[in-house]
Amino acid sequence: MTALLSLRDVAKYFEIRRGVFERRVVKAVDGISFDVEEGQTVGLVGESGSGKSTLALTVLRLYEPTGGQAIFEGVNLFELKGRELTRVRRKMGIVFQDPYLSLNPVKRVRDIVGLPLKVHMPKLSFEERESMIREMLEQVGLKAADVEKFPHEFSGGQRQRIAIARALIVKPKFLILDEPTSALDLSVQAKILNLLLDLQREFRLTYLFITHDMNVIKHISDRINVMYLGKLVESAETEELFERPLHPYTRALLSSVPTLDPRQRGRKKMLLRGDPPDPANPPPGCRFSSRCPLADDLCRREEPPLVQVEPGHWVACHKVGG
Amino acid sequence: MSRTLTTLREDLLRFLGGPTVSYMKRDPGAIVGGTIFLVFVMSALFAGVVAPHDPYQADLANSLQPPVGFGGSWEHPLGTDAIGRDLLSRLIYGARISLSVAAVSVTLAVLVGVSLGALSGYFGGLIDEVLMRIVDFWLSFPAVLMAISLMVVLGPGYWNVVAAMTLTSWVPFARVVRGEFLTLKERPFVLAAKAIGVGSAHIIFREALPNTFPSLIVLSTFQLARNIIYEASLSFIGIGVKPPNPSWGLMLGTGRQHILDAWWIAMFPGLAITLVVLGINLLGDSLRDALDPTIKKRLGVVEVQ
Repeated sequence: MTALLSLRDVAKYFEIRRGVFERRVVKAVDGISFDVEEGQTVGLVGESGSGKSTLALTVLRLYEPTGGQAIFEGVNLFELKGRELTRVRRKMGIVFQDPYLSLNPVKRVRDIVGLPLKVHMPKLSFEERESMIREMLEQVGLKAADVEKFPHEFSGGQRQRIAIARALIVKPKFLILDEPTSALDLSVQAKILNLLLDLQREFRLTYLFITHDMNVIKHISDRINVMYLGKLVESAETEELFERPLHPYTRALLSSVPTLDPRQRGRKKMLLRGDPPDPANPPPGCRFSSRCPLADDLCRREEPPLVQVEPGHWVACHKVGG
Repeated sequence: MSRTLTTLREDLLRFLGGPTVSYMKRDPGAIVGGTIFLVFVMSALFAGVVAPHDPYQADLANSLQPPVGFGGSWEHPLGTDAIGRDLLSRLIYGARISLSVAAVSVTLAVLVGVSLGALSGYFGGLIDEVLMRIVDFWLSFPAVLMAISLMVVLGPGYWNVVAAMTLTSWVPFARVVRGEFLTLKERPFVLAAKAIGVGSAHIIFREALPNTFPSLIVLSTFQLARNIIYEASLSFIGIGVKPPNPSWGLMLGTGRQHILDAWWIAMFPGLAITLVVLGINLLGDSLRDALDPTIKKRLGVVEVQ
């Protein structure tokens, strides 16, 4: 298997100005590296504010990267400009969290879903474009006649289907799904997840799936990367991660998941104290040290590197392995 | 470019159609305001047909005729002025000047203000800093004073009034559009369009601009009323439209000299100004309500957060 997308030390810093003199740097994404294998679904989990979405927007060049590389099919996305960048965009797509905000309220479904065709296949006639739009709508479970409608005429789940149709109409290889189900009702979430799985099989898609929902990620992804305050803390195959979570933060995330399994009932719950620290002012050493039950002086002094403890299982913690 | 204009027109008409109209039909203010406004617009458009007399034709034998009911005749329903010109006809032709000066200057102000506001809000940075300082400078001048100074420099005349009105009314449009663009450019649907690979022009004209139309429509009506008053004020003090053009402000100004013996010369132009401004403001109030978030939701516009 080959990596479709390889992130190497991707960084995105924001500068916050308060008044004229005070400037602070927020390291929203701070040196993230992982691979996304072709045909797989790679999960990216973490609390809100951990930098998951910032990473997604940076990889897609919707934010200007501060540093690092994002190698997509052998090309560094961070070095592309103008037309080359536009050409590569055809192969990538994104579905956002809130379908109430990601569809322009004054545009018809035809114009929303047809926009990628206009940009990437400008020579299509109106009829060709129209039939492709209609076909795509049916593939995501909407009606061909919906082209005439406006976003407000649809429910949340249907809107997310429109957003998916827009992302897929030019047949990309790679899709970033930025919490595509967390704004939806539970009953609708399952339907959208199944749709995404069906489409992945049909179009041979590679997904980067961002979420904070451990149940969803377990259901859909092959590999999971755990982020905390802009850093990668653990990365492993899904099964491995759920069986043998090593980082205290991952364990805390997993123990927050309610379970129906009676054997699991007696397990020790690991609850985190307090909120994540201010990203503009993270604790020294390990960024998790301020909330970690295992933290000692070393953790508060030195930042742990990401090391491979098992084949394919990476973790950044002084208290793991040796 | 022409395709962009066509879609922009469709987007604009969408806001003015359906739910907006059905809301306004139930609003008495809109009906009264709309009727008044329509009467003035119609008489301006068809002045040649509606006016009983030539508005420029002096008739010294019939000067200072009072209106019907105050000793006058139906020959001159609203009376005549000091040189015997028919007041009703002059008012009707005056509607042309008042309304067209206001309409043309608001249109130009929208073009200037929206362009600068969109550039400022979308690109930010140095462009924004410079343009907003210009706006601050503009706002620190009292608008009337600026209009008067401009007219003194330019001299009286129709197009000079239009220029002065435009230069004093583009600022609110620039500020409103800039503000909306600041939030619009961060919205996910704009990010989605960028991820697809569209350019800035597409985002500005096709994605963001149509979402500012509700605010622009409402602001335009209030600026229209304001410019009618400004035109009348400039003409009143003699630096607006040149005589013998029948501008309402000019008529009010000349009527002042006869206010004790022939009150109607000043009275009727004053009433016309008041009525048309009242009508437009009623219409604008109703439009503002009709395009408000609650109804916006029906139109599918999500509130700016």
